[in-house]
Amino acid sequence: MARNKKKFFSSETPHGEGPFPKVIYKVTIGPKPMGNWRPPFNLVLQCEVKPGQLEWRPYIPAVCLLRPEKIPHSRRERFSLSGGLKVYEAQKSFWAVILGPGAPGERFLECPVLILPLPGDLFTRPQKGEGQQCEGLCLWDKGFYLSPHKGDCSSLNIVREGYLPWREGHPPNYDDYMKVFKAVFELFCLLLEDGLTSGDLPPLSLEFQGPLNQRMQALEKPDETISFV
Amino acid sequence: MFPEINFKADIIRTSLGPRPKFVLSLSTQVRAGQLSWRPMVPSVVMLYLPSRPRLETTLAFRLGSIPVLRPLFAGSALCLTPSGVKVKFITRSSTLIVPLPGYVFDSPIPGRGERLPGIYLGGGWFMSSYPVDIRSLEVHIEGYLPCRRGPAPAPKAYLEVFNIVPELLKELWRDGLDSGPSQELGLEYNEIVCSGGTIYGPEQKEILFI
Repeated sequence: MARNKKKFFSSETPHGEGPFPKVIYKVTIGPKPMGNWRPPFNLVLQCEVKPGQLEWRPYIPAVCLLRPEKIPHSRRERFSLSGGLKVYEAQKSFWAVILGPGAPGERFLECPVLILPLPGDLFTRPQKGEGQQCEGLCLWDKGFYLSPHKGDCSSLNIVREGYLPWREGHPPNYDDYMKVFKAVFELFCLLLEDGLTSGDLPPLSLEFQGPLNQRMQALEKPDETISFV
Repeated sequence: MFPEINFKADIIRTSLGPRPKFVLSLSTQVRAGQLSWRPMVPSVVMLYLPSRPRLETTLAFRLGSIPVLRPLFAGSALCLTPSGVKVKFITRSSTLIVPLPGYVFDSPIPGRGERLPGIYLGGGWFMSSYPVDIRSLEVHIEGYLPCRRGPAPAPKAYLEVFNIVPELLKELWRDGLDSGPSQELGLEYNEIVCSGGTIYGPEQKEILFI
């Protein structure tokens, strides 16, 4: 595995770039005015795969950020990220009220879905007491293979906007949300390594030439070496 | 920052019956730049007696010598709206009750009408000059004080309680000030992905990328 990775890192694409694409990930929280207002958040994830990059076609499953109580009980731990954050994979499809893609609302999320625990709800309006309360955020609700090959997804442009819950404090602390948003990038980087467990395979061939009786004799005399070329 | 409050509490004798009438009116209008922190302002109605025994309260704070109560548990309280309709309100931790020195009534005739033990401030709306919020507040409550034959409290005691309503509103307008402004927090990655990490594969086997 490590050998594969080293190979990819040492190689260069025809465009002189590495095997991994450039990823732009930007998250902003706030600013928030004084009082019963919620801080806005904006998340942008952009990635364009150029020829020669991600040749191993990593599979990127659906990724959601959900309140811990909404993570299905039927789940397993998939990744352990820095800061002790766990990424779960839902073992069963489930319903959740989520923000994006498309209009916010109740959505059926089909397996495989990777879930990052979010500290709380998200909202669709900046005013406390207004807007729809969402149990999480979906970055993409269906899995896909990311590569420059035909039939695969070759570019991502994810933009998600919403509002974090109101909190007291001068200023209120949203570091826990920022920690999860930071983990999204780490998770995405890990997902790009999917498929690397299946390395290159040189051609294997099997050929036999000769009369059938010669093969039979060989089988009767196991000490004799016969090479199949 | 705070809008101006027009408040009036009157006790008047009427020819309708021996109970003196009280009229409590409050109005306020938010102008641009005022209450920009969107405080939640409750509905102001009269508490209806049958709900009182079920409503366990605790002292929230005092305004002068007047106690302001808060329900101990979430539940419901039956209230009488100015239009005379009984409405069940959900009590929350933010609900406030101002107990009156004695019952007031919704009828001028002794022996008739509902007994009303206090002013109920619950539910409500966010108040500010922003489009989704309420910009003005109009409260008009009418009722009748008990006859003074017997141990009924003096009207002055009721007036003292009524007069704390604008003070209470100013106190309620401080709602939301516990959440201060925050600066923008940012996080940006603009890089070629080349991360190391621990992946737990399908067999929960640890594969380490170096």
